[in-house]
Amino acid sequence: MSLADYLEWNIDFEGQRLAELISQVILTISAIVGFLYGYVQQSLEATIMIFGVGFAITLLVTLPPWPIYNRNPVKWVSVQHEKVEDRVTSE
Amino acid sequence: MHNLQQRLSATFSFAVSALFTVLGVVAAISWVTGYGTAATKVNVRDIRVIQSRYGPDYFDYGRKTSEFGMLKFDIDADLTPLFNWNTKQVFVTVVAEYETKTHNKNHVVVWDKIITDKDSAKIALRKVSNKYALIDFSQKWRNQVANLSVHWDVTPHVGFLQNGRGDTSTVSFTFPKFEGGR
Repeated sequence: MSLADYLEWNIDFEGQRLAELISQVILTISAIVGFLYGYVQQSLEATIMIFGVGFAITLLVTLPPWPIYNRNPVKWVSVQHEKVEDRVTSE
Repeated sequence: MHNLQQRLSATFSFAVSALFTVLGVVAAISWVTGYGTAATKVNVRDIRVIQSRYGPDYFDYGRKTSEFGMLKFDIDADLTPLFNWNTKQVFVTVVAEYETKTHNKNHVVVWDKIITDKDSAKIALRKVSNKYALIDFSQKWRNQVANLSVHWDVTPHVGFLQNGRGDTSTVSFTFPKFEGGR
């Protein structure tokens, strides 16, 4: 197994929707807050720092496969073995 | 977003979009509002004209000699209004402007300075010599009238370079006629 296989960190479909929503909301809010704070303080550095902190929080919240993203696992239909004769007759 | 790499990729690309949107707004605000003006003053104390050769090899007799304007001037400038959240540095120059019979627009930068923070944006210098050679295209100064003024270029963190000049600070002076060699 390669290293990439260990770092799959899969989440389910509902989890994907949630993770995307959370990441976009946190990033947008940190961008707006950083802009306003930087404008008031007249410091572009503060804007970048606030956005950087927001980005770090986003990575922490959305990258690992937290249990909240795996609450709706896909239920697979159990494997059904067909008989060989059936396949032959159907064709 | 189903695995780590895709979440990382999607988050990073959205973050870059958000960041550059913010920086674009910052650049647009600076472009619209500008950086205002600063109060500047240049006062010429002394003018001399000497004859020499340009460059390090002043003993190189193959070169033509030209007349150099040697200035002493005072600079008083308060450039703090130019510093806002989108100012990286301010490049200040003292420019001599004059008009001759053959060339109607001559600009010679005689002094410059880079200011990177607001605390050192107040300039009060006395008897400054010109940093750069003041030579005319004709290599002669014959009762030439010139103006000295402070110009500035504001380098922003993001956005467009903007420049300005202290228009009230323009000081006229006349080059004396060259008298005798060095």
